[in-house]
Amino acid sequence: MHGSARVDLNDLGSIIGWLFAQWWVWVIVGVVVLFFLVVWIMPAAKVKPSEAYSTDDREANEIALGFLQIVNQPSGPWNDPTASALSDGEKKRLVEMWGVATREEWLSGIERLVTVRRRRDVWVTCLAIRSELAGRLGRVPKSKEWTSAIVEAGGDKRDARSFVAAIEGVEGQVRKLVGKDIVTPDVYVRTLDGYALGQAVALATWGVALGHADIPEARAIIHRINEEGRPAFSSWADFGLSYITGRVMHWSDGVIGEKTFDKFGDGWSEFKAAATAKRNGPWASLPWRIG
Amino acid sequence: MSTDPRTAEPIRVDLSALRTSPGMRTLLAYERAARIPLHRRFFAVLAGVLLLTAAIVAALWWLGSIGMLARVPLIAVFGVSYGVMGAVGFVWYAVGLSRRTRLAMFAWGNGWAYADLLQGTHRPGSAFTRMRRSIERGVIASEDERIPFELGIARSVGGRDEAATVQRPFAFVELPLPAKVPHIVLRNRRRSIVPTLGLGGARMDLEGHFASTFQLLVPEGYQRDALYIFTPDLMARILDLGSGAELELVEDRAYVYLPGSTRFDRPDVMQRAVQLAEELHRRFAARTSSYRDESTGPIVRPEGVAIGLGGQRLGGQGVSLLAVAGVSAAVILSAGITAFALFGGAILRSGG
Repeated sequence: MHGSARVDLNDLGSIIGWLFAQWWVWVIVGVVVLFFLVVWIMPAAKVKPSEAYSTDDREANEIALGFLQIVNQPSGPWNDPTASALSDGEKKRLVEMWGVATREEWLSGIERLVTVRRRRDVWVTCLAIRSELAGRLGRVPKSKEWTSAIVEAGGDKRDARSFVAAIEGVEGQVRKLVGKDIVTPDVYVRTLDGYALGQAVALATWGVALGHADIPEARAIIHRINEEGRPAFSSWADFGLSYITGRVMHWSDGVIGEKTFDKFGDGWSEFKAAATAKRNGPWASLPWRIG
Repeated sequence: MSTDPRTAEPIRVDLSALRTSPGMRTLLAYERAARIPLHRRFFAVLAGVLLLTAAIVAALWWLGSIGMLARVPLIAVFGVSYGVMGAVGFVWYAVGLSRRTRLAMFAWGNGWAYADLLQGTHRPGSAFTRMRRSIERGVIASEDERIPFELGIARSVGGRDEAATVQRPFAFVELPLPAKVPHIVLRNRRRSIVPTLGLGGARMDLEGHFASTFQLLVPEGYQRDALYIFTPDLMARILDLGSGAELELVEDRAYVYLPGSTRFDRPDVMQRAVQLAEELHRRFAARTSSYRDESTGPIVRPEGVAIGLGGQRLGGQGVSLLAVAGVSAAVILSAGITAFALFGGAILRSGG
């Protein structure tokens, strides 16, 4: 008689007993347990730089500003100014997406990111109010204090509330996911420029891959982006927080729903990797201030 | 060297491409040039519709042969309806494609850029910002210094997990301004496209015959600035474009909004739109290039921001009258059904 014929399908105990007696059930359970154990025990992947380019000098420090965009694309190792990992299809998509078919378009794209920086006056002003208030108070302003300051400056109360909630919500998510040891409580969003600046550095490297420039020219552009953009930030964490928040705010138009962060804030894992010394993250070893 | 737009020669626009219907060869060339995905191209859609029709005919024939149609004739009605819907849909699609082809030929003929479909443009105009997800069709962009503009048709669309924002499709002409200005909406009282219900700021009634058509929405404290920019002759030109036109100034952009049914592919409409764009560009260059907001202090105006926080945006998101009407109708209908369910029996009994 076949084994399964002894199972009474009307009796749950009989079904469970039969399942326990099958070898293949134990194999499936073992594989699942092993998978979770390996995932749990396995150390997070290390950040791999290109061996052909430096990782600790001024040039490496400057290109590290584009880490999140370069790795998120991905267009190659973070310190590779030639974006060597881009395939022909990816290059084509980049050209279409960014409108950089010619050298002139590529240069003006970078120029726009460095100067216009995807800024919206209302957001810039509200963040400047927060920064000014923090300077006066000597601490990060609370939601109510910030909202009141915006309203006092002439802003609409409802709009102020939703903007403050959006920024603080994204900030909280990034802090939770990246870690409070990296995004410390005194780090807060003062500008959303980080997103455009990070993109500008990446776009400079993509220009080399697209044949619009050579490495020295891309390095010179990246140097200029750093000179103009870096003074607005105080640390890598400050910059990374600005990048992620800027990305989320830009693509959501400031309307933050339940799934908005999952959709646009996915760069948090790269942020964590970049800022973790154990994972060989460049932001953990390179100084923010370039001498 | 840049040309002063106020002294430049009037631009000549070649409208000939809009006067002729595109042939099949032009249509197919347009599909390739505009990089329309294969599944949305003419012959792919035609093949889809023919397949659908063939499938319906085959299914009806089979159902007829087994006697099902004789027993349930409603199936035939459904089948024919789907076939008709498919045919009507295809005609609608083909007409739209033909119109956009004409627009593209017109744009390329004049050395302007053209896009069949744009998404995520993040334009700052109120009609755009309130839509969660929008698409723009048949967008023409001119970078000519004498007449820099973009025009197209925008509509709200839904996503995989969200419904479309309630917003009627609308046509727009976007013009860059030489300087940033306060947020001002010249609302059309008869047919408003910008949802102004719930928008903050002051409502300014205009003088003369413009009062019956337009109303100005201005941030508090910027009323004088609005009157400086919106002169009567400027409003007269907006009226020339049609009774459904509306105007908005926001940041360093001006938007002329027109009904979604606006046919930019018609030579007369396009000519009026281009002339208006050229004229508004000249007028705004003259009226706004020297504009300075002197109403606020330095704290609320960080570097690069020219307008005080109170003037940057009219507060609120604005609510669509269509949405209000829809929700009201649903509430009234639900209340009516509930009332009938509760008291309908008694009412009917008392009646007879």
